[in-house]
Amino acid sequence: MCHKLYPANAIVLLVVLIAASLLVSHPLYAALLVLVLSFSVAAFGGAGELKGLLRFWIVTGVMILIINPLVSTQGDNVLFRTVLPIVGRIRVTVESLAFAGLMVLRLFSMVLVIKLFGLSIDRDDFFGYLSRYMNKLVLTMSMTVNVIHRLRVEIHRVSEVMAMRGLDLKSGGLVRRIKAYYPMIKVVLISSLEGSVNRAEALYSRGYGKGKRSFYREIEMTGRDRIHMFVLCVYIFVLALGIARGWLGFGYFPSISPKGDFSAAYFALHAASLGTLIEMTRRCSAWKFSAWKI
Amino acid sequence: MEVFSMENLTYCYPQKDKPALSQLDLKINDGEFLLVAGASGSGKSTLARIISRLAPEFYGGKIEGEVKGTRNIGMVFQDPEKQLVMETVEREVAFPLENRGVERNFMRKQVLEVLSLLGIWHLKDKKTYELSGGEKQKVAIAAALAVRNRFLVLDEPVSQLDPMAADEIMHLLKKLNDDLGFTIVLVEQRTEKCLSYADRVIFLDEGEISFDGKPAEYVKWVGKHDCNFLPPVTELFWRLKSDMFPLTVKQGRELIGRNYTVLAEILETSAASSEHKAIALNKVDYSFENGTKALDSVTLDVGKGETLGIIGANGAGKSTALRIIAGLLNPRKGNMYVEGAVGYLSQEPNDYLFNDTVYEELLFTQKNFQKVDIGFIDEILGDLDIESKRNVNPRDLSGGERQRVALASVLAMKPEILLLDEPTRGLNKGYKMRLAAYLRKLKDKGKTIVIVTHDMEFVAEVCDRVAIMFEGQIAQDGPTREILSGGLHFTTDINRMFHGMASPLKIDEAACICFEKGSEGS
Repeated sequence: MCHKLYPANAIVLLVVLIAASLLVSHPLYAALLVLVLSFSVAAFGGAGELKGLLRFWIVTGVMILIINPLVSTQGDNVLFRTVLPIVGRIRVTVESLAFAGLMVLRLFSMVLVIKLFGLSIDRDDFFGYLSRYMNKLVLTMSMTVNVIHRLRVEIHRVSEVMAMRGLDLKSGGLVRRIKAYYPMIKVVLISSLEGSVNRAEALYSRGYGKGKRSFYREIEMTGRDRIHMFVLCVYIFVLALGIARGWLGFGYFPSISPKGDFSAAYFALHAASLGTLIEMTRRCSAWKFSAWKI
Repeated sequence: MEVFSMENLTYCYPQKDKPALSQLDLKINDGEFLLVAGASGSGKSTLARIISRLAPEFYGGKIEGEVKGTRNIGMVFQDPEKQLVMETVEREVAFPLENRGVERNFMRKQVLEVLSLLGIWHLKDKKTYELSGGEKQKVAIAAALAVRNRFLVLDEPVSQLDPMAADEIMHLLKKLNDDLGFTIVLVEQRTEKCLSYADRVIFLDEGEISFDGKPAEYVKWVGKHDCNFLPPVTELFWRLKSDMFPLTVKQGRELIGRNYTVLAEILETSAASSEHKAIALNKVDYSFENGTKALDSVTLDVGKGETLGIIGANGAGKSTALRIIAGLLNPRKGNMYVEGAVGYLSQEPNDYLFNDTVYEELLFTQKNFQKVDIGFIDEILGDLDIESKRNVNPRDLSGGERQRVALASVLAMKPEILLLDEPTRGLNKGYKMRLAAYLRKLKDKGKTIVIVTHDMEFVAEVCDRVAIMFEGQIAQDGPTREILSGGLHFTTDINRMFHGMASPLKIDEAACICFEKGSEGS
């Protein structure tokens, strides 16, 4: 039986890493988080998907790097000023450019955290665990998640059919494109509604919601999960320490300046605890493939 | 021993005035294999829902009469996609047990037993969305059996499957019935795959049972009533005015050998294709994003005005080839040439239907191509026999009607080349024959048609040429009779029946070469 990360650990991990992505504003630490998460996801077998995401990242990253300096005109160090038609006077600063860079890193790390979370849990076990506390809601959520794959396939299929019926989904302005997508969305919605009745019928025929449920798998916290939780707590402590001392903070406006002195010892501690946590998460989630045992 | 019965049952769905089932009396015995046949909309699925108590418990509605018997009934539905709810096979099978609060160790034993019984233990850790259609149906059957149901109701479980997967499911049901004494109620409108397995057949007509008896009596009765509900092998003997009606190819062959003389004359082969090529693929390669090679150096020509059938096992690359021709996919290597506007009908007619009326559906296509021609819309609606549905919402139509509306919405753009992916899936024989006749009419008008299908009877009816695909390559390509004659799997039941005697593919052809012994000279 393939053991994945204990659901409670997975939830805490998700919350902590998302919080870290949002709270850490020092570019060095933000970049470190992205780097460690990327290696971990790639080692998890998600390298192909990372490649697929790369194009999206580059496009999104470039867009943020262009739009943010145009919108935010704060900062002392002006790179250049110009006047554009419609937009008006523009003042691009080093600080707004640097802050845009941080936002790109934050976006990347959040995507990677969600990816890591998906790879580290057994979805059926995870929702089964949660359903003990929020029974029907969670089970319905689980089924909805399972429908997403089907929906993705359906959207692709319908877009092919509509293209063959002469619907142009690629050219024209935004309004025209939204209009063009309308038939496609309508088909998918109607089919989903029809499908949901069939699904509900199948669920009913299998006795769903008719009485108290039992659980196929006892999800126990193993020794590995306890150590993982310990490492997670250590990382939370290190993170809190860094925030309290200002080592993870960074001021962008009015001018770029770290909030605290750079501590090489803290950087080493942070990198070690983060690296250990992420590597343990990976190993806990796929230990049957690993020679590493406790 | 009787396990289920209904007396004088009338059932009406909510917000409907007309009953779906009317004054039905039915008894089902333990260990019986009951086949429920009938046209689309005759009440077959409603009967299945009544037996499994989904109606009225899930659907609501009004019910009169008495329903007695076991409630431990497993239900398997038509669409394998829409009945699986968990991510892995093991959890899917355990799901109904969890819902009943069954103790964990017993659950494990049950999951182990049913997966082993159905021969799908190896799928235990697989994701349900990674399975083939046949595997999904087996998992659905396993889930229905896991809660120790010894009574299964299956609503057209093989209608969405390819012939090989359908055969596997039918053999499995037979095994459950023969070896383990399970009671099986099978709802099916295409009876050729299951008639010989049944102990008893009932035929529903507008919510009433118009026949109830043994399969041998059924074929005699239904032959007089509507030949579209006969398997091809049996239909041949109706044409021959025989008083004996086989249910299987083997029985048919024995009957032919015993009572008929077969003229082994060479049957007409389809005419050579036009020199003018409408489609040409030259050494085309295609691989999916995950690296799986779908097409491997495919070279294929289709002449203008020719009808080509592409057949082969699932995953052989048939649909990919069609999507390449349609221009939906770009070949990784090789080159291709397609002359004329292409119309493409995918496997799922629902993907086409979103407008409020059938008429608007066709108009939508014409508007996109800026070719609005109301007269032509009327012509197509008439040709496809859906004129009466002109102002009906296409989503309110039956499966066969939806399929014809989807086809009509493609034809509305006046394509020179028509690409059809599994156009007969879910259609009964009557609709199939009408579609075949219409495609022949299009061919006569010079249209080029490419059909991907598992339906050999349909291929024999409409195709001039057939290409068999295997692992992304064209394994064989030639005139239909040459390719299908003598085939073991890729041929029609009629051709199998005449193996070693002659090579007819269709009922008409077979009827022309069979003479009752002693009547040859007359």
